[in-house]
Amino acid sequence: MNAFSSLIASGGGLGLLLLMVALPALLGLACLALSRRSYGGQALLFFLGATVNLILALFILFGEEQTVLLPWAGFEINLALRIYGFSRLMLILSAVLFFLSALYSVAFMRRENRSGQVFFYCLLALAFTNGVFLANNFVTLLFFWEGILAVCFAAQLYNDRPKVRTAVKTLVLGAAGDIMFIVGVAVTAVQSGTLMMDVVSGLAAEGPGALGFIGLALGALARACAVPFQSWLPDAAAEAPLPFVVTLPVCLERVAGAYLLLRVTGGFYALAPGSALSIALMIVGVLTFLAGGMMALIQRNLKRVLAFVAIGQAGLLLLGAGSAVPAGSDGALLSLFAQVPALMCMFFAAGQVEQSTGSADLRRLGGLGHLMPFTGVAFVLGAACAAGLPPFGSFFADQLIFSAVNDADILLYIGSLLGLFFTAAALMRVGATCFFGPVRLPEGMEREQVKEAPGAMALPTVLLAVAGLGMGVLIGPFSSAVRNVTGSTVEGWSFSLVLCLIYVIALLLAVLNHITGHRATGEALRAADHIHYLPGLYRVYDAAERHYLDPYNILMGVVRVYSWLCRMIDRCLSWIYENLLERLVDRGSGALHDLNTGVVNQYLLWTLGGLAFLVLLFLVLV
Amino acid sequence: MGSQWLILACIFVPLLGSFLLPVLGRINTNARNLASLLFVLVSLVCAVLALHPAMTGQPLRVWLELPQGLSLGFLGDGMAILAAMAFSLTAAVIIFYSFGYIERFENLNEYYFMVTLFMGAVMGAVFSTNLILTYAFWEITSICCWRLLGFDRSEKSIRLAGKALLVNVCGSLLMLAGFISVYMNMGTFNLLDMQGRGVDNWLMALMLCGILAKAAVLPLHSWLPASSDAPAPVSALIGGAVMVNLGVYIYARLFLAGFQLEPVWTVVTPAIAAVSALISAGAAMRETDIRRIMAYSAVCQTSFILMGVSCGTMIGAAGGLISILMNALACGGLFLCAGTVERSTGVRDINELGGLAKNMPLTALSFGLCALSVMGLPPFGGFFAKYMLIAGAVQSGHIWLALLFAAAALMTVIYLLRVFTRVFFGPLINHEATERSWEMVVSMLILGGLTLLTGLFINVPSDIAVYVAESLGRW
Repeated sequence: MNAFSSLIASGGGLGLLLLMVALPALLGLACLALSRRSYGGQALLFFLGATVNLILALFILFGEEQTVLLPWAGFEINLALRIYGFSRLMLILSAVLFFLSALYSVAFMRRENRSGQVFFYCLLALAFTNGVFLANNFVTLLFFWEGILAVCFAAQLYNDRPKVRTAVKTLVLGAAGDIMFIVGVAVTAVQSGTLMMDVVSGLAAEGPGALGFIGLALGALARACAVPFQSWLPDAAAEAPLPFVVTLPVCLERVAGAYLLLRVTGGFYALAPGSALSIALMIVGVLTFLAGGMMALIQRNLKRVLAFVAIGQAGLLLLGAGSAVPAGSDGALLSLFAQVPALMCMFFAAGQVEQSTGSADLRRLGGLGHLMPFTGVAFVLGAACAAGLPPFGSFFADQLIFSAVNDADILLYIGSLLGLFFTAAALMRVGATCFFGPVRLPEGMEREQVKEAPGAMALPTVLLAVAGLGMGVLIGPFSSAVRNVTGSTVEGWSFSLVLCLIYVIALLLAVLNHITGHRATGEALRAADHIHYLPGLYRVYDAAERHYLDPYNILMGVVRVYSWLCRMIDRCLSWIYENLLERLVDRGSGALHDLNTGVVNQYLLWTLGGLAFLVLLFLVLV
Repeated sequence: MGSQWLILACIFVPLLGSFLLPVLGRINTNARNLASLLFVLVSLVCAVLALHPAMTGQPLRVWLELPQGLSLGFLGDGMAILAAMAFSLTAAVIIFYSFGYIERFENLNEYYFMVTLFMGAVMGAVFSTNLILTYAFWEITSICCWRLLGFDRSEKSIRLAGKALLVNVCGSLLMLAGFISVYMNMGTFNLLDMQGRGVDNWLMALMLCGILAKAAVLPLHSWLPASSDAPAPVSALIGGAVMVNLGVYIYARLFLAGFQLEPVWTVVTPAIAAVSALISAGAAMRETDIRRIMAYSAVCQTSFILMGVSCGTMIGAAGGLISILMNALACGGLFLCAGTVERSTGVRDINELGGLAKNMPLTALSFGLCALSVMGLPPFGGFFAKYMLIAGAVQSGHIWLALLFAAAALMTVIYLLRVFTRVFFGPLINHEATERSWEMVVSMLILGGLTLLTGLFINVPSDIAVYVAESLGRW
């Protein structure tokens, strides 16, 4: 242990840098190098990576503040790392969640192909995410930030069932956000005169600074899967290997996105509450929350429902961080601690359902709670936490956020309540369909074939399910501990009882909506049909289902028109070189040819004219 | 003489050695091929050896006084060494690729002669500090380009080669007019004597025409996409790796290390470059011919570099210089991969290609590495270059430039992903396709690997670029 400690402390934190960033990456490479036959070796390395990462994060949590500065690419672009309060918190959160994910993935991937690749991508993503939390230089941050995107793209392209379109969508949408992030970093560096993140604080989000703020915020939104960067997630959730989906977009990317968002709104820039940028961020938050909840309500694939819920939850983070008040930011951070475990828990349960029944199609599933009781209970607990039910931790976090939103703008508050309603209704619909009522299984599958998840998969699922409840029960000490580490100025729970009541009423309305819809249609899956086919709303849903509202498709539509225009311009320029100039030369030489008549008088006239021109030229020049 | 011979060897070994190649070719074709590679490698080695003096503030210099106050000179400063290393390294790999690619063609003596002569002329233009000498080497590259593009003697290629020559020579003549006017104003062709001295806007415009033509920047770019019918190594050498980058290098040599420009040119030139990048990226998104897409990509990337070196900031200039290296490696690699795909399948339309990663995994890997570098993703070298170029645009105070750059960078991601995924992923269409000769595969892998290595060890090129940018002393 002493040797371990000395390695960590060596070189003023250099050892820590090596371990936190390089170790997961190296172990990932080792997983990739091992063949599928040695699954035990791959799993061992993967689990070892997760465990060592957790131990290191614990060391950091209780260790001292450290910094590392290595020269890199000049112009103050240094490999600068720093361990301090907020980064400690994010590191321990991601390490714990990754550890649980690793435990689940090792058991899950036993029956899947390309396990080495999945483990490699997960560990590489962990290395980059650790880098994000440790980065103390904007370009270092960018490096790790875009690294996560590259891993996300590669993981979807190079796996057992490559989904090219989804991979392209992921990279294009992610790159759009990241390129704006680079612009934001460059503007921020000019505004502050430095690239060192610990020096930059409280910049004015006005004038050019507004562009810096917007750029950084867009980068964070892209990683957190908020509108308009979200549309790849449902496709990826349905198609990609589950450990990848849980580890990257649901866990690591979300935590990284929230981390950056909170640093941008509450650290680098002094975002004024009620300012145009604050309201704009909150509008995006409400749109994300609403879009996620509404779309989750009509999905027929279990994992797509969860993906849309995850998108909606990103909206909540945005609402809290965008409010630019300490209580809102505090709520966003606590919400992150509650919602990510809940989402992971539900995805794990969905993975167990899919692996056990061979399907994630809600039309072919039902009553699985009888056959998979642990999974069913865990899913229900996770859903309750994600929906923000009391006494789960998310309930308390949501009160802070909703209170801040209400203070900012009443319309945004109403929009948030609608988002809450849709999310809760969607989760009730999916939970009731999948785990309650009569047993329904895919064709050809018998009840005896459906088995409860093995212990290694059930344990992390149950732990995550209990985490939200535990956080709610111990919200006082938990929030104090978090606030101590981050240095938050918020104290106690100063939200209004009326707002709390309205929040609960919105949840009760979601329950009522489900019961009514279920009774009317006789099916839990169609419990939201009355909303789906509501006049006016139906057209919106129809457009969304046809992907007309998909930001990626809209972007590609613009690209098609723009590229057609560019091609026309290019063709015109080519025509000038290849045709027009040639014709002009032909005409010119033809005219000269015509002038060459062989008549001496004409030649004399030309000669005299030329002489006169030269004389004139000489006179002008002299 | 000291170490000055390094600079002379860098230029004259390939330049004069090229004349031996047709003779060697008549004796032994392998000896000719290897000699061509060797001559270019000599340039690379000499450039590397000349790096140390350049970085210690004692750049190698060759100087020859002539009558009438004229002089000839070569200077091996950091800027020249960085460019020489980038060009000769990429060219050496491309020549090695040719060993496996070009054998089915006729007139190979002429091919190797022209390629080596071209590289000698490029080295001459890189190191020259005399405007007339620069022009002379510049024109030799144009003539070599003309012969190489029309190398297979088909009617179409001869026509397109003529187009390239017309555009390049017209541009060069305008540049020559500018050089002569500069001489009439300043009484010297020596660039070192012109450092920090102002130049009239109309002279700048004349010289810029030549540079835009050579760098294939809009509106003088159309010769480059049209030249995509040439053999892949020729396209790589001219369009991807060397000639277009030479155009931007000369801009940096003349206007960063030479004349003092009016501030208006720190807006006009980047604006031209931005429009060029946007339109070429747009055209690349529409095009379906893989070789033409790479050509448009080359126009787009060169425009990025021009934007960086012309925006008037130190980080932009350093980013531009690093980009010359990254662009030479990555764009050169993309051209070679596209050529391999065409050779292997006989198809150039990306709609008729698919799933090649199964049959050609190494080509797919190389293409992927080069494409990711051009997109600017970490840990590739292109990532750092992209940041520095955008930061340069922002620092210049023209944030709109940075936003235009960002838009073009996003389009780069889109068109490269489109090619990459359509050609190498999805259902396998071209069942008969296989990896080609080992020389071709190794060459592509070298360039792909170098894009990654230059990113992992970015401090090596960035140290040189930062030193050069700082030593310009005009920020």
